[in-house]
Amino acid sequence: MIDYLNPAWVYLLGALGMPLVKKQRAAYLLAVPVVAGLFWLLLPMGNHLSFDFMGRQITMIRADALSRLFGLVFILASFAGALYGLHEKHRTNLWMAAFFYVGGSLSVVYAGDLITLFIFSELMAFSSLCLIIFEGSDKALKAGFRYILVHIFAGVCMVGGIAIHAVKTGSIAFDGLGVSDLGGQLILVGFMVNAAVPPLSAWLSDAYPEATIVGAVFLSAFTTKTAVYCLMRGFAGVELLAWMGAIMTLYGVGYAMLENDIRRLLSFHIISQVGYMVAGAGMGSHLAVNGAGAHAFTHILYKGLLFMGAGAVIHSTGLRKQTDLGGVYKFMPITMTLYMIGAFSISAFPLFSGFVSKSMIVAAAEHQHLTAIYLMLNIASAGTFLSVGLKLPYYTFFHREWRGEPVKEAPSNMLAAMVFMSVLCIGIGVFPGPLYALLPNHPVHFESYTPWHVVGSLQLLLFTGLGFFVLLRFLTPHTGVSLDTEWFYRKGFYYVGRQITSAVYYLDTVMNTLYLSGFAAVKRISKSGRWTDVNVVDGAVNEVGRFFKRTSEDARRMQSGLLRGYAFTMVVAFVLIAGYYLFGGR
Amino acid sequence: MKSDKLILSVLEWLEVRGLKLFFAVLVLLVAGDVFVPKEEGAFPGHTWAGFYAFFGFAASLLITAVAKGLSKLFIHKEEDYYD
Amino acid sequence: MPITIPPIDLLAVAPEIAVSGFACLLLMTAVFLKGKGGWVNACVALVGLAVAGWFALCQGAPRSAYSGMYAADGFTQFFKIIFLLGTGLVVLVSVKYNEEENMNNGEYYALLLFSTAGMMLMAAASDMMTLFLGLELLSISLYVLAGYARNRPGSNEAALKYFLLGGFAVGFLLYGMAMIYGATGHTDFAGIGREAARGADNRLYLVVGAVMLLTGLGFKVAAVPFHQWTPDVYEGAPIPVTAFMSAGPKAAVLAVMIRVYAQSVSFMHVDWLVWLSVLAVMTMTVGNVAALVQSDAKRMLAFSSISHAGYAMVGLAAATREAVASVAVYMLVYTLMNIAVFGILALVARKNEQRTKMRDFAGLARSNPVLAVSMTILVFSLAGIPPMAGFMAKFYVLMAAVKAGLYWLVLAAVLNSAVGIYYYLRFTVHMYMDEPEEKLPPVKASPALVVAIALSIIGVLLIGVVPSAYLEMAGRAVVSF
Repeated sequence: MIDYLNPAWVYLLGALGMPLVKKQRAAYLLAVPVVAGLFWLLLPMGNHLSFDFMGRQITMIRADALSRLFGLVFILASFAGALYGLHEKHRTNLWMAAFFYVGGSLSVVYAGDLITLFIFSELMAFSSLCLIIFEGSDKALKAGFRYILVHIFAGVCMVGGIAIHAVKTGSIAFDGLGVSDLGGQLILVGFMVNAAVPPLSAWLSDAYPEATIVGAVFLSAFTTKTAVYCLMRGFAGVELLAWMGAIMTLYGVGYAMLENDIRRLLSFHIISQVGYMVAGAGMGSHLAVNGAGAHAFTHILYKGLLFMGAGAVIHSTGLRKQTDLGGVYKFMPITMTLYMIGAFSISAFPLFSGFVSKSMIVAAAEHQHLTAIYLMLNIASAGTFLSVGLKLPYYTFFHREWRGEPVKEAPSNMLAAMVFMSVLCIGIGVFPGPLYALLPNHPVHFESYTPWHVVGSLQLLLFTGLGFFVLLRFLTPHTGVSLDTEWFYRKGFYYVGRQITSAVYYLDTVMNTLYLSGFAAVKRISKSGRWTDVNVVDGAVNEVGRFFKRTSEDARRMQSGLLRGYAFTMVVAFVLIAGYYLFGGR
Repeated sequence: MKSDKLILSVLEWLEVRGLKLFFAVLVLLVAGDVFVPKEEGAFPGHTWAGFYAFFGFAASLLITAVAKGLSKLFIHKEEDYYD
Repeated sequence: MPITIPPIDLLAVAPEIAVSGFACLLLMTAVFLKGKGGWVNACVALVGLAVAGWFALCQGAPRSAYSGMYAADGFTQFFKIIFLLGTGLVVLVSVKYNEEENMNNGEYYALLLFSTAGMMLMAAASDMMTLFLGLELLSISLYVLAGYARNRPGSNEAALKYFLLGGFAVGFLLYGMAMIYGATGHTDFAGIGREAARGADNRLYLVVGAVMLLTGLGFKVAAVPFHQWTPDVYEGAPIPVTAFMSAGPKAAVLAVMIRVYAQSVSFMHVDWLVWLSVLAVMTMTVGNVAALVQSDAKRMLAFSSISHAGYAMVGLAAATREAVASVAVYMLVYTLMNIAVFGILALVARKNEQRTKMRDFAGLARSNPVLAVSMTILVFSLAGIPPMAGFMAKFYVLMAAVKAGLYWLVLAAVLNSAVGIYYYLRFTVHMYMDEPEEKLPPVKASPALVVAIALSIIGVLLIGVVPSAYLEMAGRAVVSF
């Protein structure tokens, strides 16, 4: 019985039971993660609940070091998220979506086969969509629609890949997949979309800032990190990923520099931070994979904290742009302090959690003599501190006197959630031992607190700070949007659509012209009575066609509505096919 | 609340003394770097004292220049571009 | 030359006899009902279908009847069940709509039954004459059905167009058959195959005839480029008739194509794979791309049905036993979900108002939440999103194609389903996210329609969750291949 204690099911059942619990909702929301935590402790290692389904081996639960690592941090993040959202505890739909989302990602993390994995990642996609569109604004709806289309594309890639992989290897087990065949490649593309690897990343920065405040806290933790888990499990050591990850770190940092919306700025930093993990998975050494796992763990905690801080500011002020904010520290000093703990963590200051995890990945790059990647990762570190640690807090909390009515500090449940996360961030930073003990590759020979590491990091960060003050006047945020790959489906799609439509129109015209000229030639050749029959019949048909064309008010986009055209197309096709077999084929 | 008063007073203190403190720390970090034991460097210059100080400063300039430059070039669009 | 009378195997054709008999009965009861009490007609039709279904189930051991003209095997049986199921659903869908359109009379149901008999003959045909007989029985009934809403010009246009082009296509078919007969001296598929394998004296006739046959069948299954009649006719015909035309006849023609091209891959000793693949890709792509821009739901579903024929043809191109079984399951699932979607269109339609524009679905989630959820399940299934049956069906077809090594065909199909999801989701978006233009009272449910939609949804979910049972059933059905 104890074999079946999958923490994911606690959330899925918890979501289903949500509408029944109205009175004790707050306790319920907090109890579900606690029970899940209990399950996490009790679930023994190994494969459980394996059965045969359509001739394939389904394994619903696979508990090993890697899935336990991600499982634990997901449970912690969901507990903090629930605490953070307690003031909105009566939005039943929102909480159902959130718990389905958490349950979905835990199921993916514990899945031992590709079919289970796929089904639950679809559950994640649709429940996370709800977290976005429940915001209710028109922008959120549209962003949500784009979001789900991208994720469906990823899903389709995964299905195709899984099918091909299953046929080629005869197995649907989710282990190292490799990219040697089309199946593995398609699955990789699906995971890369979910991990927001550029150029497939625009969905993230497009949708997350439009989500509900509570929803964004959840979103920041699960989708991309689940994808990182999948990449670590399935594609560790694929060199492409090491390079893509390094590019990602810089890509996110660069766009964040230009961003005005505080949650979008943080979203770009999700891309950047996930870049470290993708690079770690791609490098594939024991140290790198451990680093990717550790970084995912710490990242979920500090990124959640940062999104909580940004959400608290939006909750209190109703504003979300740096150009509108400024001087908030007077009213929200606690939020500011807790936000800064998150900012120091993401910037990898010594004694904060980012330091003990990020340095593993950077060190792995150094050990594998990937100097270019090593330098790129370090530049991204500087950029992270520059925008999350300096620019965003400077323009949000300080910069100038607050212009509007005085605002209130965030509600106590939000602060409590942020304190919870802060304690974890500092705790891991000071005592990395327990985290290292959870990592997948044992034993962990890594010491983050060497003098060179500490002094080097401090130099890097503080001189970046110096750079910030020197460059301050260039860094003032502006209103506006930054072009990203989303252009292709927000703008480009219409262009392409128009091109296709006009091409079809063109073909149709060509067909009709061809027909008419051919018809005229035939008429000239044979004026004798033998053809009058045909002409009369055909003419009548034409007239019928014309009549109905006039009467039908709908635009016939691709159809001329004329029978002769249809018949002619059929004849042309017949001649083509017959010609192929008579003259070309066998 | 007590804690927010405490935070605000710390901030006030920093406003007066913070800049001097900051520069003092910068100088100390680079000067102290000479005595820090180092492993084999990954590339020439890696083990020099103050390498990361230079690197951090240069990186912040580089990122700002590239991001702002590309923004000016074509990335930046008006707020209602997609509407 | 002594004439031998072949033994008469009544049990093999009992379903056809039952369906035709009940159709005649309907014509007679219609006289007494004088256009009133349409539900009596519907009940009679349903009883007829049930009886036929019973006969189809006790068909007995696989055998060839009527000196090789009629194949009474598992494959026939499986398809017969699909047809009867589909027609049954259409009968349920028709009651409310026909009542409102004032066309709920016995002749309508009689025509439905006659065309069902035609489809069953087609699925059982192992001879070109049987095939032609079934096809004509089906087509002529359909021509009339398409124009059944006599007072609407759109319906008349559809009927006339369908008739003229259909005649044209049948001309191709018949001419092709004549050529093949001329070249081989046989009308049964097995005999043609034997004769064609022997030598190539009359290769020209054989090939031209075979391509003509392909043209005719391509027209009936609405494969691109023989598809252009589809959107016009589907848009104009009454909704239940469109539902009927889009499901059963398509399955019937695919059954024929399977017999012709897959049962004996060496049919006419011509390599069909190339053109079947090309047609499949064109059919999928044109269907999906054209559906993207449609504003009329019926027209959009017409293009969607074109694309579904394309997916099924991927299985046809693979031509393995497994692929044939997966196509059979695909047709079963497709029949269920497509008729149910049209059922919802019929439910949304109001008296003297078709309401099939996409924007007519705006805000449906608020006024009729259950209906909106049903529609969402069905379009998700059409789009191929798990755990709905549409996904499983597509999955099996593609799996079979992968096993046959047709990777590029699978890739095209996967890309196409991604495109497809876009326009199917438009329904959901309209229903859940848009405000209706005018405030209308909620749609009134009709018991028969609710039963039809509920049955389909149960089927779609059931096949989606436990598909293996159905695939095994289809697998047993194609053992004779």
